[in-house]
Amino acid sequence: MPRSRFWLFFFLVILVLLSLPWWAASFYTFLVAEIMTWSLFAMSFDLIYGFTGMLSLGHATFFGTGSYLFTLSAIHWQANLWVALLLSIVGSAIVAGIIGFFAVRARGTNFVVITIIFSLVIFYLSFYYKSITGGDDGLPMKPPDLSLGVLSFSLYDEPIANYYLVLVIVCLCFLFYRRLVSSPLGKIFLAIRSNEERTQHIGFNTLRYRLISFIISGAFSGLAGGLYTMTTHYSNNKLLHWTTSIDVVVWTIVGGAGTLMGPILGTGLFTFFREFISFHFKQYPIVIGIVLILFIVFVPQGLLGLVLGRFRRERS
Amino acid sequence: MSDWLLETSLLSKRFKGLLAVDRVNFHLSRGQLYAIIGPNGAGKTTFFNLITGRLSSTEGSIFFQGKDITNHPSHEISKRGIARTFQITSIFPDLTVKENIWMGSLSRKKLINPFLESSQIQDLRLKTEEILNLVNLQDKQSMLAENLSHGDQRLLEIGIALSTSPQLLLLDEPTAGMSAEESVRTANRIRDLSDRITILIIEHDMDIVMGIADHITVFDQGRVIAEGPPVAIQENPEVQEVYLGT
Amino acid sequence: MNIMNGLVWGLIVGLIALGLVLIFGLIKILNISHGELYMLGAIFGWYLVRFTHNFWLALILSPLLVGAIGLCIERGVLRPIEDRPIKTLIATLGVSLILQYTVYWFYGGSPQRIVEPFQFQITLFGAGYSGYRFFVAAFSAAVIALLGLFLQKTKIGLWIRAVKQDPEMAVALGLPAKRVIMITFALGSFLAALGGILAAPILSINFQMGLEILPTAFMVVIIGGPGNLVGALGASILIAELEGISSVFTSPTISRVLSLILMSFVLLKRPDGIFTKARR
Repeated sequence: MPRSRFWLFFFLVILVLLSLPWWAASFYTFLVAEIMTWSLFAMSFDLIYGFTGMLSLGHATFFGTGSYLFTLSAIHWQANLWVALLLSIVGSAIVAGIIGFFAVRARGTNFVVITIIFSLVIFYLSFYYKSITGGDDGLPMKPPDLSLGVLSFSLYDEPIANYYLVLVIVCLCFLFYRRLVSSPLGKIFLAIRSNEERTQHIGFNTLRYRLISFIISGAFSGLAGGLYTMTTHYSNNKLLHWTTSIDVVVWTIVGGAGTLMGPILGTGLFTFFREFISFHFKQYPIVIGIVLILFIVFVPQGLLGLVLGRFRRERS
Repeated sequence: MSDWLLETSLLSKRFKGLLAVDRVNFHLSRGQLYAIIGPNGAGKTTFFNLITGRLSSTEGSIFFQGKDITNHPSHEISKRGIARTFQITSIFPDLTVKENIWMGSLSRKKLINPFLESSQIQDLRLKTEEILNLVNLQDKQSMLAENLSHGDQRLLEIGIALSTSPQLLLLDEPTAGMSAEESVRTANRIRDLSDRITILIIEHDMDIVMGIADHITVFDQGRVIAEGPPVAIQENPEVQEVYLGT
Repeated sequence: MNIMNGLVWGLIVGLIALGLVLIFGLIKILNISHGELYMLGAIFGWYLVRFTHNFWLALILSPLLVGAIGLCIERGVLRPIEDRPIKTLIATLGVSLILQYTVYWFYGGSPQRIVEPFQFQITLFGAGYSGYRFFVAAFSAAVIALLGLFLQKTKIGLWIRAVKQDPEMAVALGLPAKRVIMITFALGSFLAALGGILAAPILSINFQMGLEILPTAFMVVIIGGPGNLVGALGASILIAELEGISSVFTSPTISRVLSLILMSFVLLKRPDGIFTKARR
């Protein structure tokens, strides 16, 4: 997308988001904050799927780990907000490093299966150690206050403060991702997705780069999990469940893999859909399944991919 | 031993009962154009795969610039200075022509800064332009690689290989699938290139091989059955039999 | 007692896994909806038993119905993308969701049971043992043996093996590869459903039962070796016994974890499975 057009679009969206708490009901403030955290998760998934070409069906592991680290550090150590968030990132990065170290040695379908296995193991362990994780009842928590110098906000009591904090952080992450994908490192990821063997034969250790991509993705997924818990005030092991892993895959593919903004779009659409339809139609996953199949067969580049495709053809 | 640019010693590859490469002793020195010919299935591509680390050898060793590179991973061998093209064109289909070549240039950079804007890196930009001109694809640099014609894709692949600043260039059937006219043009380009870089090609087209090669090695059933300058190979009775017999 | 249970369970899982292996070995499709086909076998079985009061009729009809569904899935959904394994994997994910929640819509969320068709006990090694489970073990073994015969002796079986070995050569020889794929998928679905209805009197039937069995079935495929039918059989019995025995000592969760870890090692070190001879 041409530079100038992007920044225009971006500023418009930011304007809308910044003003949201003034004109929308507080329910929406909460929902949009939640959507932003899911979007960060989806963007992080897109890094390894849309950009590096690795399908992981176990990404909830990192989201859930980030969430639990945030909660546990707040509950047991009275950690301050920044420390708790930092722990979400670092802890998830470490887990991603461990899983990734083994997983990236496998390709294609084998890689998928390994991510599923690790995800299942961690999920089962979370049941076993119910005393720590609270199992599927989960752990309710009160996020630490946000202290900025002299000002202090209770994120628990002031959801608007929480909303702005999430907005700022997710925006920064988005800009970071944008920078990353147009940097040489990002180009290497794209090359790996495009033709891994050729990438090896020009001198790149693709194992190392796949691992790097995996760790970055895991770290930010963990941050997303921490922000989610900060917003919703609980952790439970559904966040580690494969249904969560599948959710993020569906959102990314339908929204448009490999476009960074596509996953955000997909996340928004599906979360709104789920929020408003699921009351009336408990079997809404049928619709999700149908949509998924239609897209993967007919529009594998996703909604945004379809739109951007028009721009792309003008380029060549 | 350290005189040769590339040397293999008793190099063998066994696939479950088939000896695809059989104790091959091979060497080449700088600045010439070498060719490997032989009937289908003679082990030529397998030989390339062994050199570039795509396959691991069953026995024997490979030396490049005097150093042992046997069974090293592909990316390391590329870093040492061997570049290669494949029988089935292997490029980056969803990147543009320019980006394809840019990737090759990038690979030679010592430190990759994850925060720089790619198109701003000056030395890579210049190098990419240079290679684009060399393979005559500068007019098509914004096209997606998958939209190129077959012949252009093969040229692009050679361009990618060249952008890694190799000491030795391995080309696997560079003219495969090209029209007669394109083949001749490509062959001439390859010959021009051999002035500045050592090249080893696998080729089926006899006219081309005889026309541009300084030195030919003949493979059959995994073994080297003859080697020498083109004239000698043409008159070698064993070689004639192998080809007539096919 | 536990060992016998393990054997029964291993054979049922074997049936299901064989279906999965057939499909994966042939067209490299990791069918995530395979668990749902098993579930459908049980569900259709339940409906059929309710209407006909005849378990044996249901035993035959239900897998046939599901086989037909499998055929439709392959033809309708998977055919256009069969050459891309990741795409088909995602598509089977969609199928899985659709099947699960369609059943949830009509059947509801509460689990049901089918009564065992015969209720007698066999005394084995001094302990009373359910005659039905005994039957299940024997029947599954018989079906598996029949399957083996089918693949070895019949023309279609030969076709299936040929397409699995070398799809291009098979097409060159004039084999209707697309039809073979369709038949294989239907056959795999049939087997899964058979496993489902056999298991129905033992477990409870609910719309998510496919999800419970899928990890085990996948484990079997991976450990036994993708495409390796005998390996799959061996692996299912191995895993069932392993889990059965270890759950005596530790919690079932941990034994599941152990199996999963075993599976990852196999994937990394011996991607052809532990029952195949190592290559390279």
